[in-house]
Amino acid sequence: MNIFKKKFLISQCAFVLLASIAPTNLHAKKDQEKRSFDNQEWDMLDDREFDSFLDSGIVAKAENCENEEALGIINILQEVGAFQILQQNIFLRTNPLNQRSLLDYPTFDPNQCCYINDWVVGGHIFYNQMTRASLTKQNTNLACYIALNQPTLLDALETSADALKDLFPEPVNIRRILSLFNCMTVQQRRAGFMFHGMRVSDCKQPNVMFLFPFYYLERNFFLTDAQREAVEAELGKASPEEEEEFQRLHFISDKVGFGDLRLEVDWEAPTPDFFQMRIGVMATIPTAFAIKKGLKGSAFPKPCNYPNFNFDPLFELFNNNNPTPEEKQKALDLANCIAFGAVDRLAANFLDQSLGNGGHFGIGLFIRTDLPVHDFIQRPWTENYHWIGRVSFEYLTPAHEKRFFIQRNTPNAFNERNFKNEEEACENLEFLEQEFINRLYLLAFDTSIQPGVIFRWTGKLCYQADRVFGFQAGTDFWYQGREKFSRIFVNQKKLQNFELKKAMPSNAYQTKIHGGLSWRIKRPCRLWYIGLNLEGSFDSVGIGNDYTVSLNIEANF
Amino acid sequence: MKKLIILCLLFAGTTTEPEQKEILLESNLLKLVDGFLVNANTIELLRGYQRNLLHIVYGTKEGDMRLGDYDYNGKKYTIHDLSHLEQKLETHKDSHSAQELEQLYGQLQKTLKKAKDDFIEKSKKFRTIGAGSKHITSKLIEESCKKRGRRNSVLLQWGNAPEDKEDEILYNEVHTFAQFELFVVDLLNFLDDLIHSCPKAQEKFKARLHKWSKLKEIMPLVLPGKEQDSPLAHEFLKYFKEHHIDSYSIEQLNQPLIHKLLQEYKKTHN
Repeated sequence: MNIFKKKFLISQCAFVLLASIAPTNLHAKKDQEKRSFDNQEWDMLDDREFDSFLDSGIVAKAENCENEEALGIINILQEVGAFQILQQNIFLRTNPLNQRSLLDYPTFDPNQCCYINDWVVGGHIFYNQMTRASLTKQNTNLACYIALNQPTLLDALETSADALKDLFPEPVNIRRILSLFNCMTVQQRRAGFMFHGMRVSDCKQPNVMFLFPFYYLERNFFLTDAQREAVEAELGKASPEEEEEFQRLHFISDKVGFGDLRLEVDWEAPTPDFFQMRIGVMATIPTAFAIKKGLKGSAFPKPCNYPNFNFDPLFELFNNNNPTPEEKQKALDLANCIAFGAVDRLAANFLDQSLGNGGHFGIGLFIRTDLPVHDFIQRPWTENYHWIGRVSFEYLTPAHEKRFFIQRNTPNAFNERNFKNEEEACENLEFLEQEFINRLYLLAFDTSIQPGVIFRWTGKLCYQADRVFGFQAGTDFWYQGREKFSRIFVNQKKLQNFELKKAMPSNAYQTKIHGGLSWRIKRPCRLWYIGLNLEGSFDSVGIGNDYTVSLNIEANF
Repeated sequence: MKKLIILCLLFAGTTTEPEQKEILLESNLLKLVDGFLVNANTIELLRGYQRNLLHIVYGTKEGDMRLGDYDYNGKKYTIHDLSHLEQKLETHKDSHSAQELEQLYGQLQKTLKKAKDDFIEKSKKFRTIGAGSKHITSKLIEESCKKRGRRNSVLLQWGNAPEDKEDEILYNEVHTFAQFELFVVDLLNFLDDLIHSCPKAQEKFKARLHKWSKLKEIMPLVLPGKEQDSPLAHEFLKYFKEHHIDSYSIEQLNQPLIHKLLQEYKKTHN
């Protein structure tokens, strides 16, 4: 091979080698560090026709594509397991909370063994708190009312969360989040005045007494500090202002006003000398009304129909690649509205409680007994002791109240539909929207309620001498039978779709100890009594344990 | 000898062919929303963004030439060209005086700042696509960069930054045209991976493009020559895209139909 040929060969090989390294087009790699754009549709992006297409506006939604869109939404809902969630029972119960009327508290019974003069007028300043109200017969936790720890619901939610895990910046642990609210409960506070008056007669004339409260009632959803910290750690902490506003709008209901009026008349019954008994009748007159609602919290309405949500802004947000801030806000508002609408109905059921018996007129019989201890234990120190007893039965007449109900779960309705059919997609989507609302929203219907009979049994040891100081201590038992629905004012066909048993509260009882100290102040025209009373329940079913503190000031003249 | 040269050329032909592998992002969410929430409109937006980015890096195509937008030394350059110039300047530093170098680098930095501003401006419209779902986008960017072996890409930092801090990343971490080009190219590739990971949406978008091409073929047949480039023609094309492109299959698009639609359009938009 001559030199010329060698040179030619070398130059040819060098050319080929260079050609293989140098970028022949923009797809090729330039060097190890730089990696250029390897788009296969480079030509398309550069094409004038493509330019003209991109520059000719955005394709508007076709008028006849509702079914296609609806099918798309249904497919996604099915993929993320929403169907399984919608077939679960979210509400295990829908009953309201049992309430013991203030008129039945032993603290407000006459504080003295006997009064010297004929008339007694006075009032208690009181504070009553129930820290954990019973939401069902045996349980104070929200988990017994809402299926927060039901395995089937949790499994369905976990499946959905798993399908949507990319949506969340951090992994979402559904079980842990819901468990934070398992122990949530309802707390109740009542504070105000219990006015009372009494005509104390001699043996042949009846005693007459009235009780009439004016008070502030507050109920709120309650988590302990540790539970709140756990929720904040998991879901984020709001500013104090935001938290206060949120609680005011959704977690607290309060009102101030008058309660029911209690009238009692009793006569002395013929008894042996050592023992006094008076038999009486009592009436509870439904005079309760609120002067103002929503002082620190809100008043929650009890609607009888479902909210008319238009889900379009939510779906449009998904479907719109370039949503405006207004559109996003609209969708966010809708999501909030749906979620808090459901919470507010629960709040209406739990928190928005009447100041009285719910409009029921009550009549009853009672017996008061007075047993001087000295007649049985004849010791000098027993001379001023009395065992005071009271037993009563009260019947409350039927009245109309609002009761919340939840629609029955209908898994068969899902099986009967063909969710793959595009022609039925809009109808199917409407069905799913309705099922979603049905599962989350309670409906309140006017219901004729026959409350259960109230039985009370109180006994106390009472010390009162002709001295300044006196005291009392005893026990109290209160029981109310289960209420019944006489009639629900809604179309019977519609009523078949609702769970009635879930709406009925259980019977309830409460056992208390109570006691108090009193001082007597003598004045020329009248006697003044000042008493400090305490009571607290130690056993209860279907209502919850509470305590009361009261300061009683009364004049006897 | 000739055989050897031909063999060498053939060999060179195969090695210079770019590696055309599609990278698919394995997100459950993408699979879930492909074709519905991520639809032809989304792909159109993404492709539009790609086009803008392409114009920034490689310039706009004019005939066989590509024209840059950025001034340097009295001439217009693309980012790609400026990256080369920057590299050249670095290699031949010694042939310039310190004053000259300072001036040239100063000019380059000024142009780089302008290019970044331009990028930010052109990205504004498209940022809304991922607005509110930053963590999803950032995960996808991470996957794309990992699969492409771009573990040190500035795009990763940009993707992980909060939405209001993205620009800061660009200003603070990108100091040369080479880095800027690399960043935009990584972004272009990510967008490409994203589009390929949504085959249903992409298919719908391609179908629209085919219909568009066919429509443009038919247009000269329904409009007289002088009207083909008239405002009426452009407005009708826009109208067709906005209201009818999804209503007809490509087979249905023919001269009588377009003629009918054009007449209707003329009546309603007289």
